Amino acid sequence: MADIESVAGTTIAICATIPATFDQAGYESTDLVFTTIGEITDGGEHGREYALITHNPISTRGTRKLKGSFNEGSKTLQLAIDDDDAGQLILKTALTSDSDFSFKVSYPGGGKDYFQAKVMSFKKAATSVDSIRSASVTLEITTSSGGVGIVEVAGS
Amino acid sequence: MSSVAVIRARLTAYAPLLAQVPDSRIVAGDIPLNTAFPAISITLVSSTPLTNMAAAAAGRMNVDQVQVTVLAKTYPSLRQILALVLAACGNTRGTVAGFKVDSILPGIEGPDFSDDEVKFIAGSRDFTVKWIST
Repeated sequence: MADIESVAGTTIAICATIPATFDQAGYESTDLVFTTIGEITDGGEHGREYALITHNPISTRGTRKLKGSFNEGSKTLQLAIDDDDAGQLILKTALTSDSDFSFKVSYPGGGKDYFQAKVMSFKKAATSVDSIRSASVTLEITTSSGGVGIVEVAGS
Repeated sequence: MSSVAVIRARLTAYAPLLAQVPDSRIVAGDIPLNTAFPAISITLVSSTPLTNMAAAAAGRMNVDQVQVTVLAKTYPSLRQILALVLAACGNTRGTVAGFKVDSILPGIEGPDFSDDEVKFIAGSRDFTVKWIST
């Protein structure tokens, strides 16, 4: 039975392979092997946002609104740096690549979100003696040529 | 217990401190009755696991506050031993007493306290020990 849940137990994984189809079957194909990105402390947010188009005909005072193009947005991950973490090493490879990488967010209740993104930045921080050496990673989520962005899979 | 063991390992590995307080009188937990002074007690004040989003237990960093309490016969002895405790527990990274240690940082040195009946004077120093659970 679906219910609210906390973030504890959520994992984010990365794969260098693009799915053959941008749907659940494509992302869950055995051709895609996802590697969990370790030590993530903040998974950021992701979601579609539509551009607002407004229209003000001079005959009325009302503003008409329409939805325009959409953008799947960006997602910023906060993590503690682990130089031996396989997922973090793939992130660094993605940083220097112009290619899209596949990502999978797995929620504690079984739900998953899949998307394609480019890794736009991997910024390291060493702020104080009591802080953990960390990094901020920015993902720009893209859509397929067919306009498919984030693929949501409901939990059981 | 892990961070207490780490601090005890650091204290008992420091020869200038052992010259003042023998290994048998550097104790994890309360000092037993009839123990001669000076003596050192090492106790855990708090332990906070730093949980990442995946919430896995293995590989988790723990931030512990450990208190080292020195009981001595005289005030000059107390001051000298507390200084040696601080010197013994300089920042350390690596395996200590079988535990993977990220860092050891000194915290607050507490107030002096004494007991005229038992005739001792005591003081303490806290340490922050960050270690990684396996």
